[in-house]
Amino acid sequence: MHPEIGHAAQKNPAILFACRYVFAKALVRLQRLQPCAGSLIRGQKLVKPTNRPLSPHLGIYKWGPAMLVSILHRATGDALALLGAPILVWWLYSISAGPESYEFFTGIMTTIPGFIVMIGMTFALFEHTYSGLRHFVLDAGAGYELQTNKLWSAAVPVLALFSTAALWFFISSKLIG
Amino acid sequence: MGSGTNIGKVRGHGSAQHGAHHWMVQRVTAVGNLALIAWLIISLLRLPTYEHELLIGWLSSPLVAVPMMLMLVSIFWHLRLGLQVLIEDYIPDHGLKFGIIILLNFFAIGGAALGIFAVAKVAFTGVVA
Repeated sequence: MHPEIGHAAQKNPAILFACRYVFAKALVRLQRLQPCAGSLIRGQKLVKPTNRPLSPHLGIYKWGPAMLVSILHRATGDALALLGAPILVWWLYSISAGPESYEFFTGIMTTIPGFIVMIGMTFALFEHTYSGLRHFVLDAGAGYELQTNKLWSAAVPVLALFSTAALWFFISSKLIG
Repeated sequence: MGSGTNIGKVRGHGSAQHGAHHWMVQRVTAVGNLALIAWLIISLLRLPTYEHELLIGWLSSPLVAVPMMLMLVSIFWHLRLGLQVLIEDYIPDHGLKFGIIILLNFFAIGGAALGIFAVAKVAFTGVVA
């Protein structure tokens, strides 16, 4: 780290956190890259690597839970922003605009595509929330050990699926029962 | 630059020339979203039914209308910051990026304003006589 930034970071926790975040993200990205198998020693002679990938190389990587949860964080965030938030405002608008408007809203949202959207938004909300909590832990500088990082990355979508199922089970039992 | 204090030398830097401010506000609004959306889900699940008349009564209570408005501010602020990063990552052309960020501001401020106005309308006029 540049000494002046380091000095300022000591005085301002926001910069310290931001620096840690950037470094940590870069570290995680590096860890995702597989070591390249170019330089092999054969009979004491170093074989000159001819097909070593340039790093970072988009073709050389292995899927891992940290990648998945990172991509899902952006995808679910964008889905919530571009679809979830407008539906939330439409719901509030329809309540304010009167019973016919509200019935129009509930009529559309209780069709099969409507339920798919609502359940999808519920999953996106839980996924983004748990993934965001994971980010808070990473921002604090914790959870970068490979196994720990892998465990919590894998746990986020599982917990989100479980929470979505539990919430919709509760809603359906309430509406039917 | 150069002769200021240490914080003055680094403030406003970073790839978007906004230092850590964007990052920090994204976290602050994330905490706001966490608290207020948890409140909304629990409050909605506690309602006996979702008929229009009942929702009007629910939404016109100050203890529902105020957190709902705060939630709209927090959500739309957070999504504005998040979508800004998306745009900055995938649109390299400066002019196009500038134009789309203007549209994003219209979307975020307009969406929040419409939601807040709807809540205010119900809160001030909506009580079913």
